[in-house]
Amino acid sequence: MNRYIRSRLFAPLLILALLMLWEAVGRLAHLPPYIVPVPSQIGRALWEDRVSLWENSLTTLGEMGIGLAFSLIVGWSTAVAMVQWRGLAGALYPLSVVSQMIPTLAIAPVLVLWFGYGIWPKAIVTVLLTFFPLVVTTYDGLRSTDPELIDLYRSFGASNARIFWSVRWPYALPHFFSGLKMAVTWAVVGAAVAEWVGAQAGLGYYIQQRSHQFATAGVFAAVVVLALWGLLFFGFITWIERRAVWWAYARPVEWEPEQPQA
Amino acid sequence: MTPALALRQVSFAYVNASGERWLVLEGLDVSVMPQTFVALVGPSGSGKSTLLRLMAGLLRPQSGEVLRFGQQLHSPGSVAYMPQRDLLLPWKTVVENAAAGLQARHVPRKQAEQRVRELLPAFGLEGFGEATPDQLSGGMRQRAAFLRTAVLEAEPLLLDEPFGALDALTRADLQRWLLHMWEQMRRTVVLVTHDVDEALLLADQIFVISERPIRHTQTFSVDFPRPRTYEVTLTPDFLAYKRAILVSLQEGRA
Ligand SMILES: Nc1ncnc2c1ncn2[C@@H]1O[C@H](COP(=O)(O)OP(=O)(O)OP(=O)(O)O)[C@@H](O)[C@H]1O
Ligand SMILES: [Mg+2]
Repeated sequence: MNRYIRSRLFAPLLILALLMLWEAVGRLAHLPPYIVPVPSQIGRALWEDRVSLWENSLTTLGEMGIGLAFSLIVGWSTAVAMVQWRGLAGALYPLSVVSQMIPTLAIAPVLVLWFGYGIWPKAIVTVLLTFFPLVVTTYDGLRSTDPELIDLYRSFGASNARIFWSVRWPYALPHFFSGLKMAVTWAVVGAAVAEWVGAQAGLGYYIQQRSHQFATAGVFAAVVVLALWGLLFFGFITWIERRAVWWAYARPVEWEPEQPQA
Repeated sequence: MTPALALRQVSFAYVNASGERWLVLEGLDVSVMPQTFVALVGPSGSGKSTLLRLMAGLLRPQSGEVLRFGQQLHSPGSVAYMPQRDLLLPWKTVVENAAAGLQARHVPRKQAEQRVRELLPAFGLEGFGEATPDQLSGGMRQRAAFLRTAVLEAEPLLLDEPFGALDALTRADLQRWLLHMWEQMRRTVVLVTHDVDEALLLADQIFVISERPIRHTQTFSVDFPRPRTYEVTLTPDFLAYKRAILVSLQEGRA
């Protein structure tokens, strides 16, 4: 079996082994399912409640999408403005740091008070969680451009806009994608947690309902769904990243050292 | 004749936040005549790169003026400048990289790339136009960077230690190649180097800088006949020049 396939198989096999261990211990110890459900019970809950899990997912993803889109657009523009006008950075950088210091869970109830049970408080929580990583990574990325490279382009007589699009932004892309990967994972969790405080739908709401009913397997089922969404988005962004900034990665090896003869 | 590039009473200093001045140039006069190859030789940290960046319009003198063909240089974009490192963009091919300067000077992309492609063979890059920089050797990268500057066809050509980072063999190779290229195109060149042999092999005039701040340069006219070959480096005249320049470099330090 070649090395590549072997390395790809390792993680799934490990997870499978852990699940089997969990199942075995749970059954042998006769743990009540409302305290520790075993994987097979969680699996059944997932299957039986698939329609509801799907519908609640859509609500959560919608909230997350709005928040993330806002953070992306406003965060990106903020970072660009901070790089183009130095003075602005002094004012805005601390502000975006502060946005990360806000104990999001603590102010979620206030947001519900202000904006009701609908989509907005969740979108705002998502923004609070994702704005900072996006602004900071994009800004740092844009600033990391080699000053000599910028001088070279200035010596060409290039305009600021050309320097930005030809040099600064491409060199910031790896940083930007790191920020985006953090942001999507935070966004999924953020939206769900915000639903906890007050909602009529969504995976967070679903978890809260099931937990009140001591349907712990259902709670775990929703957690699994959340994790899957997070993984899916993370994977999607990694996929785009590989295509957009292929040059930042080492090329796949075509030539390997020949094995020494025994 | 108007110099292709002239510094008139130029002073320049770096200042820090607490107002300290680090004086690099003081009241310096320099003239570079059209179609001459000038080498700027001096010890590390003496201000050669700073001087070149002033000539490129990337830095502005604190007092005095920088004239390009008699016109004051207000902003970068009229000369051809090549920094010490190759600074090729890793996501662009050789052709795209080398066309970047022309495109910034508003030559349409197709046309710019066409011009670059025509020059690939002369720059020893034939067949590598679509390669990315990571597929090139150090010497080829340097040639690609040089192509990017040379294709601008702007005067003068300012080169900051273009071969400084290369091994001795590759460097000798590129020196020979540059010598050949220059003798064909005869553009005004200012080459920064701290390799006296390189300066003597290539240049018509050598400006020696010996100390910081730079107040004046000592000029040596190198009159080896052209076309030159590597053979000149083995002549007694070459050694005599070399001795004189090394002495001049030493004097400044004493
Ligand atoms: N951006 C800067 N800020 C402050 N000081 C600088 C800056 N750039 C250069 N210097 C200082 O100015 C002096 C001249 O530097 P410069 O880079 O021009 O020297 P150089 O002759 O090109 O040296 P080398 O041969 O090592 O490249 C040095 O003492 C250096 O420390
Ligand atoms: Mg230098």
